[in-house]
Amino acid sequence: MLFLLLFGFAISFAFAQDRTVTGTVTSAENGVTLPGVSVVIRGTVTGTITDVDGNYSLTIPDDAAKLMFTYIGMKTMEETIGERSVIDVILELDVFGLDEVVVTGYATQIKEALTGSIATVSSDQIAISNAPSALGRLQGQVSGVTVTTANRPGGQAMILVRGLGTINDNNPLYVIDGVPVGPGNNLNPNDIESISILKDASSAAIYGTRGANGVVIITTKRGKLGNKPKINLSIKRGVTQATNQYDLLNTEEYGEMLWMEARNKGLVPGTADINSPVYFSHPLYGNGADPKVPDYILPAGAMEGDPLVNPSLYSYYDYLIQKSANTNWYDEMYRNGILQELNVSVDGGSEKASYAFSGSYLKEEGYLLHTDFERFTFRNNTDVRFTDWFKAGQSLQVAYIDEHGWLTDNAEDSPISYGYRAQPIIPVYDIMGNFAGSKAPSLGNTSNPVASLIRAKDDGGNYFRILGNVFAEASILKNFTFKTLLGYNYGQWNGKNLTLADPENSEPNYIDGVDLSSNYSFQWNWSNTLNFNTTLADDHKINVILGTEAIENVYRWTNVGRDQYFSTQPDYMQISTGEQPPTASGSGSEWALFSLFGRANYDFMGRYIFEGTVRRDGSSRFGAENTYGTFPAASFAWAIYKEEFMAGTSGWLDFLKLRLGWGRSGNDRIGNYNSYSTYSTHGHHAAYDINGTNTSSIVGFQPSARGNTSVTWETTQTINLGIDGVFLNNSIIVGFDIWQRTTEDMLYRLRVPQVSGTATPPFVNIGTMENNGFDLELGYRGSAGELNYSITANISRYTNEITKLSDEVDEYFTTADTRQVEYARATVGTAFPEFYGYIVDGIFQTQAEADAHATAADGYNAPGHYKYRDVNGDGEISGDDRDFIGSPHPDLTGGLNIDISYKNFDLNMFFYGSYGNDMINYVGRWIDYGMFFGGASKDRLYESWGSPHLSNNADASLPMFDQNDMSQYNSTAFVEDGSFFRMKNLRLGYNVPKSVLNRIQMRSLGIYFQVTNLFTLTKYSGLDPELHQPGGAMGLDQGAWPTPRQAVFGITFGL
Amino acid sequence: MKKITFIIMTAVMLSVTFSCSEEFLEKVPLGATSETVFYNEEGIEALMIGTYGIISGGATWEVGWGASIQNWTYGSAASDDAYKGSEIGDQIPANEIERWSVDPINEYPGDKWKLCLGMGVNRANEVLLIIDLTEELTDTQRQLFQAEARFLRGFFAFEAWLVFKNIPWITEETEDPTLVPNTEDVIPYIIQDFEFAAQYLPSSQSQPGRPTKWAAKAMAAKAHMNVLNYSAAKPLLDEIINSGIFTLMPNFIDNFEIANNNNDESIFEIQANVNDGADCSGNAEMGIGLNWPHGSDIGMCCGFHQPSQNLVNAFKVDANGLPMFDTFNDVDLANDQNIASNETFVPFTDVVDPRLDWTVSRRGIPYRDWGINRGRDWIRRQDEGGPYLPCSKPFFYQSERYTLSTTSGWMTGNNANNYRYLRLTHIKLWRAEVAASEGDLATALLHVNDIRDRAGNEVVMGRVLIYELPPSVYPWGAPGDINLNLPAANYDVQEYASFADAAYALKAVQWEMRLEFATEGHRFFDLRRWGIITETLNDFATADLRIRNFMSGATFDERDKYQPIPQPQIDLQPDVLVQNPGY
Repeated sequence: MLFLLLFGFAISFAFAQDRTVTGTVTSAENGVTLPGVSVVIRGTVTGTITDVDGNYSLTIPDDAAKLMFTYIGMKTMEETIGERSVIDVILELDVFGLDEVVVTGYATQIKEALTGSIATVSSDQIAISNAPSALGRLQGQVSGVTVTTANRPGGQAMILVRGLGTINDNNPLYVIDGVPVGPGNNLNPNDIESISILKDASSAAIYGTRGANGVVIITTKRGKLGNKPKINLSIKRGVTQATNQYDLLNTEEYGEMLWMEARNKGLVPGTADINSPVYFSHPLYGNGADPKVPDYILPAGAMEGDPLVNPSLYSYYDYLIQKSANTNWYDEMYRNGILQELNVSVDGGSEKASYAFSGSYLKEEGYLLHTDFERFTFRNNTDVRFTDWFKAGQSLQVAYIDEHGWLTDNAEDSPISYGYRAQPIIPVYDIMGNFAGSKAPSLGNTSNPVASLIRAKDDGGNYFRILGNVFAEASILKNFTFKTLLGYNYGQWNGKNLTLADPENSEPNYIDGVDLSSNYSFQWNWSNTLNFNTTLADDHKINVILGTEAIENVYRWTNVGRDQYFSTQPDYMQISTGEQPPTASGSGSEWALFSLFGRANYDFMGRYIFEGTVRRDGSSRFGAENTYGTFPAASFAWAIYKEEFMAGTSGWLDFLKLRLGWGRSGNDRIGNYNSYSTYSTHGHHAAYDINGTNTSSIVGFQPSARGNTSVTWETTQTINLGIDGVFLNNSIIVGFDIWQRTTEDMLYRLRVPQVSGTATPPFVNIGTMENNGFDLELGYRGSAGELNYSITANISRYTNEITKLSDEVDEYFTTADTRQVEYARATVGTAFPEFYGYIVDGIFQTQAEADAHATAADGYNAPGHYKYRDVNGDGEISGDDRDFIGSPHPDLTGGLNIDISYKNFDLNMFFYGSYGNDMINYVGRWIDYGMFFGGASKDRLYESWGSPHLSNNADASLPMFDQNDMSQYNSTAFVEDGSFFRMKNLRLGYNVPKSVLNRIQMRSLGIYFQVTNLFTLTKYSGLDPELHQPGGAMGLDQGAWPTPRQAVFGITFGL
Repeated sequence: MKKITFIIMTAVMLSVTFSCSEEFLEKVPLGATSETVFYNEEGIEALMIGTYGIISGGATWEVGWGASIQNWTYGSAASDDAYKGSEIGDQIPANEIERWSVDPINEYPGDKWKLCLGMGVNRANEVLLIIDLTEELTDTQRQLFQAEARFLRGFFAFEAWLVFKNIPWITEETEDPTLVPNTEDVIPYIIQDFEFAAQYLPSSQSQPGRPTKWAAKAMAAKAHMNVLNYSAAKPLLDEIINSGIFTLMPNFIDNFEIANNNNDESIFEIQANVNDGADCSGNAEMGIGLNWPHGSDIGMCCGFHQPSQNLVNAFKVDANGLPMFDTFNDVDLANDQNIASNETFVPFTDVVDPRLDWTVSRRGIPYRDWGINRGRDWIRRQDEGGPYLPCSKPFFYQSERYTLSTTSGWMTGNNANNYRYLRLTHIKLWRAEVAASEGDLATALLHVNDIRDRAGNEVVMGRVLIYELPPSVYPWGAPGDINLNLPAANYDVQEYASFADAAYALKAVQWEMRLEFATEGHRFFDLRRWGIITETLNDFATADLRIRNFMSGATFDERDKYQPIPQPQIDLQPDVLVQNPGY
């Protein structure tokens, strides 16, 4: 590589004679002159920009062959200079962006000339969605990319590119302005110029061991040379609301359900003899033949007039008095959250330098009390052209995030889950205005979720990130451009979590405490690329890029906590003021990567394009035996429509290209220290109070991990076949890719029998996985008078299969296990993951039917209970009868955008859907089956077998409610169809016409009104079929925040 | 800037990049160390402490509550002593254990296996290996270390044997532990470990957490007793008794108080401590972290492990202050099942052994210094767990709250009360059992009466004079509501005048063990070794329907004497591990 570089330097170069070319650029559509068109000498960075009247003037060396004219939304044009000194051009509208410049790894390319599979999203598309995370705004915009977003304020998004390449980390690599980063919500989406998603290995192989899950390249906006300052201001304000809540029994129905349960258990409510085995009473609802809602739950079951409820007895917290209530906890927890966003940006440039500044503020209040997210960002990009051969610049982004409240999502301890865990009889407040809770008997172990939301209002954290680069670029020789870029990325997190006394609950905490967490990561990367670009004999374009890159990352974390505080003022509760001994922990990790890479692209007449890539990566994460890996790729594109034999199609075919690509890329996310065997201390797994002190312990060591010195990257090989076409006078566009990804050497943590120790076993490179699928994009654009409309749709499909896990053929591993029940596992022949459990063949209707069936646990076979299938046919129902019972992976996902504009109005409608995915409604285990005695579903009372409300038990949707725990085991009864079709966005905008703008001296002025999440078609019975749950618990709904509905009004100003 | 300057600068920068790449790619783990640093006295000691670190079976979240050393599930909830308690829907694997319908995929036995074999035996073997590899030790040091490590290995293996019986015997010399079958009788090996430990461990230890030679002998005796090898146990028991080192504490309750951790009666205790900086007081007995009173006035987590009515009935005494072997369960001792706290209930209508109210907290009786037990308001779900608070021996005093109980985490009852794994009472009653089997009625009588004599020394004081207990009564009611100078209930416990025959003696010994060790996790294993488990438990299940219909349909079969080998482990060692019969 170095030799090549030096060889390049050794070539002598001559200084050419300079002359000047001038001209005017106009638009083919309406004939007006175009300001801001970039005019560049092909193969160099030398160029200029047209002025306000569309004129340009450029000094060119004698040997300059062609000028390139590029302008957003217009087709790029190349003009041979020859002897001309005046070159006027007319640019044509580029309907589908085939001429747009696409950012690829370490370079850019014209979209038309791409050989790999790269999806792009423009700033316009990104601007439409309200999602706080830029990545979340990609949902449904491109094919082959699955995006889910958490619904808490500031919710982060997750991207899967073409299925799951591994059972390990499936996150793609993110690169912002040449700086590799992790996923996050700390980027201002308005700053983004474009996003490129490298989907196949022929495009991602240039990222070597980090490219296997795809690469998302984000480029931020830069100023343009010669542009007057442009000021943009946008303001957005709206309301966020919850769209759904569980349909739960009210207080009276709850009592009825308890009486039904008692009867189901063989008890006889109303029995007078307290010693009778069928006697039944409830601490709150009494002991009558029917339940009776008491006036008070504390004192338990008291009625008005009882001396025990005399407020003078009230004493906090020994003698609390709580009236019975009929609380809908969701109504109490939900609110209208306010959403507001403010963006200011200025960009422009002189002849020699350009700049772009922006600042933004976002505040998103969640629809749950006291949950909020605030983000401040600042960005500055600067470019300076020092000489005609040397330019340099920098990018700087600063983000500060402040989030507060109880933000737990998709877990049984999320606020959404506490909404169903609290019984309706509990009031929000007791008679003296303090919080009420579950302290009264028979209210389970819930806490008051409203109290928890309020107490958590000061919890949260802040995140600070500074990210950017400095770079220099030089056309050192004719056709050679050298670029060096130094990137940096520093992130700092500070979190705070208060534990405040909650004496009103059944499992109260009386001690106030604080936990603080802090971590930072610093990463630098330095890349050097040499680009060689030439055109030989007009028809042979050659582009070669060679480069090196080094990356180093350091991460450190510290947690401290302390209990018992004199005052619970948040300002008082500092680590120093706590009274108990503090707890502390902390550690860190580091990794480094060093790489060499190169890519060559050969384009013959724009008709045949060949590309080859190779990267060699060395990583600190790999074992000593396998430090370096090499990743090659090759691809080819054929612009068929340019062939002479296609001449007859020009009436209806505007563009047709075939692409074929092959490549290998790697996944280095194997943990940082997988090759080391280690021992470590541990505060309680390896500590003991050997001295019998009662309050201290001696810390020892335990074996903590076993290393694998031969561990190395996972390799994914991709084959991609794509076809792109534009038809019928630029009105229809079709893009179709069919692909296969095969992952080899997939890391699997071999399950070691426990008898050889429980130190974490190492990953070994043993598994294989295969993904197949297609990506389809369709677009149609038309107009009728002043009405313009376009419809774009994309559909994606992947199938995922583990083809090998280990040398044992029936190797499996559990991927989701909650409350001692296994929900999902993975084995050879399944996708990662799939649901695992019993198969329910209905409900036993008669004792005879139950007796005739294979026996489950003692006494389970009875009318009203589930009839589990005896899969192995041994006459007994046991764990061996479980099977794979559903898949969270969709058959198809798709997005549909409809854009209509009429005069100055525009309308956007965006729909998103998923088809064929299953979900597990784990929440049902609580509300339908009574895992704990919290809130109960309407179905439990009205639809369960034996319900007095059911005219025919054969119609029961749930088994008899007698709290038999076996019915709680995972089975097909919990698996539901998670398919949905959702209208995600409706936006109506109005742009003030030019005539008015000119009068008020503004560049642009627009207003819009937008509503998100208007309707959802689904059969899923939980709150929301659109679940943000990566990894092994994919599709397992454990109480996630449902997608909010937002109504937003916005104004944009351009000066 | 001249182009040439730029080119030179670039070339220099690039050469820097190339030259440093080898070192650049070396990153070692932070805060961890490799094996070689342990090849010395300090290293062995550090790994030894690491092995003690999991002895309570409370390595949460590495293992769950099924691994507790107190065996509150397998030894107590699965016996006639106690119920799982709490709510039926919580911790459903424990329901299977209680109902003797354990599926081999149940995670509770899985955790016990993991703790005992995967962590315990494995860590002890690791220590033994490193002792072998450490050259600088003197013979005495080496033997002492080996004795301690072998005690620990034997201890963990024995715990696994209690629950599973058929376990692989793995030592530091085993080349591949994954190939060792579980078909050989391991009791002899376990006993060898204890015998070795007894030979080299000192007679006393300055650090109370470490075993002495007496602890090793007691463990060997315990192993012998479990296979009814009375003749082998007898000399060991005699040696311990005759050593004179251990004496009974004056009062029964002394063995369950933090203030008396590591007392004169203790032979081996599992140390517990709190607020030492570990998460959630992880060095307390986390394995019983769910087993504290839930709700109402005390309000901790989570109401598990409630005493059974059968156990309470067993404390009834006849007119002579002696147990009612055959009739104890005919009529239930008065209880407040289904009676609201503010309704009338008179707690002390029967005469009972005073140990009842130290073991079980029932309505109307003072609960240590927490106040008067208010009955149903204090129970998480009376219709599912019965009328009694979680078994109270491991509990603590209100005056100790937050100094000797945890201030962090949600298992807020975790406290510094040690678990007396072996105490002199065990030795004396085992000796009595041996004597009864030999027809040596005098020796049996002596030891049983020693225990009964002590049982009457201190009783729960404070008789309630009010029979309605609304919230206002907490903790001690209005002046005059309770007479602290009167015993809380009608207590009587008398010594046996004589044993009529060996069978009666054995019955008396067994009964005494039940009362003395109730809810401490031994009952199931005792019933099993005595050969009376099947009828006892099936009778219990039937009679128990009077108060708690959760056991409806449950039957105890031969296979239920041992827990199943965890299925996931059999899946990993398919031709090596054999499932226990019946599963």
